[in-house]
Amino acid sequence: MSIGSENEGRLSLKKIIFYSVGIFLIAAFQASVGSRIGLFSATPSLTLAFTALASLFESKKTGAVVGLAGGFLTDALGGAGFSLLPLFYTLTGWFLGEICERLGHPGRQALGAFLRSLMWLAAVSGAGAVFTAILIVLSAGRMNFFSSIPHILLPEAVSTLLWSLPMLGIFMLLYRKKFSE
Amino acid sequence: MKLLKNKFFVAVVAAALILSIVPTVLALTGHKDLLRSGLVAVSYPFRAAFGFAADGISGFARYFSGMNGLIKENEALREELDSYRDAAARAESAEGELRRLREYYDFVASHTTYTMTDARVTGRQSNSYSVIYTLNRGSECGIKVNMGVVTTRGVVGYITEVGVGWSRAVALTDPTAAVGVYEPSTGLYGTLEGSVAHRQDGLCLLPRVPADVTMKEGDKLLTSGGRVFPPDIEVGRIVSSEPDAYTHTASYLVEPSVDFDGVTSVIIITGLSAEAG
Repeated sequence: MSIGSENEGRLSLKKIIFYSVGIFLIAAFQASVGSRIGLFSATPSLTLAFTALASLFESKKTGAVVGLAGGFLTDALGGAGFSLLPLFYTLTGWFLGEICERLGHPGRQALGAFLRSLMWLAAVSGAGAVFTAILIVLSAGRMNFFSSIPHILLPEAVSTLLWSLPMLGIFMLLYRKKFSE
Repeated sequence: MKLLKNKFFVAVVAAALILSIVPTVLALTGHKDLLRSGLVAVSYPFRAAFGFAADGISGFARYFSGMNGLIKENEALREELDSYRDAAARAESAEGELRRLREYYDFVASHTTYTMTDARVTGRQSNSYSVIYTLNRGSECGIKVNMGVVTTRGVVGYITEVGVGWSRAVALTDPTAAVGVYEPSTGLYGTLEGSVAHRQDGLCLLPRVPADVTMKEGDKLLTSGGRVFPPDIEVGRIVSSEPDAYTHTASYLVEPSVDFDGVTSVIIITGLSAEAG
């Protein structure tokens, strides 16, 4: 049994409001103060982390829709010109949910759920950083991948992961009834 | 391929593609994206609120980090101020020493017929009877009993006791003290003496002055000169007179020129120089 697998049905109105308002506020937060809260001089992808958590704690469908909204809002509020985040976030939300369904969702035990969520968040943060590097290549035309590791990939991945921890805590709190302990 | 049969997946990916491609095309062709503009407008209050909150938090943090900086700066400035105070105190002390030495050398230069040495007052005993100074020069410097002790301001007294590395001197107000003086305006010569009766008032006595010699308050008395004191060193000023009808003389009370309580260094007149001899 997993948390996500129990939530394949329709979302309750409360959850719809939570995810709608949540992704909007997080996108607005990221667009307004993202560059100021960045760790290691990298802006965290809070909407991507929120998308991943939606996928982990709810379902791949919720993850995909939240990713779609999150990517679009991030581009709309903070991006300029080239826009690929809606597609990337949607696919991230969907496939993370898909993988979790196959490998197992966070689980019923709080500590286990926390650790497994953390692992997936780290993976998604890394993927987000790689996607940022791809976007830079597409925008700038060229970039040395190896030199970008310490300057772009690692800082952004770590920054996203660290800022996703408070969000993970909130999700753990909101979904606490699902845990057996 | 199984994935493409999932209608939800196809729908959501299609929507994602539309939301990715349309804004990109609109941006590249220079067209305005109404949806994007609308979202930016709608989110403005939230972004402004987040920005305001972040400004507040960073301002708050900056206030305290600034406070820490100010505290450190204050400590550094305090230390700097203390060091400047020390330096100022040292400079003041050095300046005082320099002034004293300059006065001493001026004094020595103006009395070349006498040999003298400077000494520091290392102790002072004051009682109802006398003021006794302990000086840091003794027999090793040729100091002997009855040598005159002066400052650049005037006569202090004379040496009463000598040891190795130290000596003692009594002030003019001591009842045993006596110094030859003269008053320039009248040409009067006399002996100024310490007085038991006036010692506590810090005054000396000039006794047996002929009645026909009139001195007024404030008149200056100088040393008449001799083996003990060089001539023309200020001794004191007339304060008052007490006539004696039977002897047709008058006794004058004299206030010494030197403040005996404030003496910290003195000059000991060690004798006549070879030049004088």
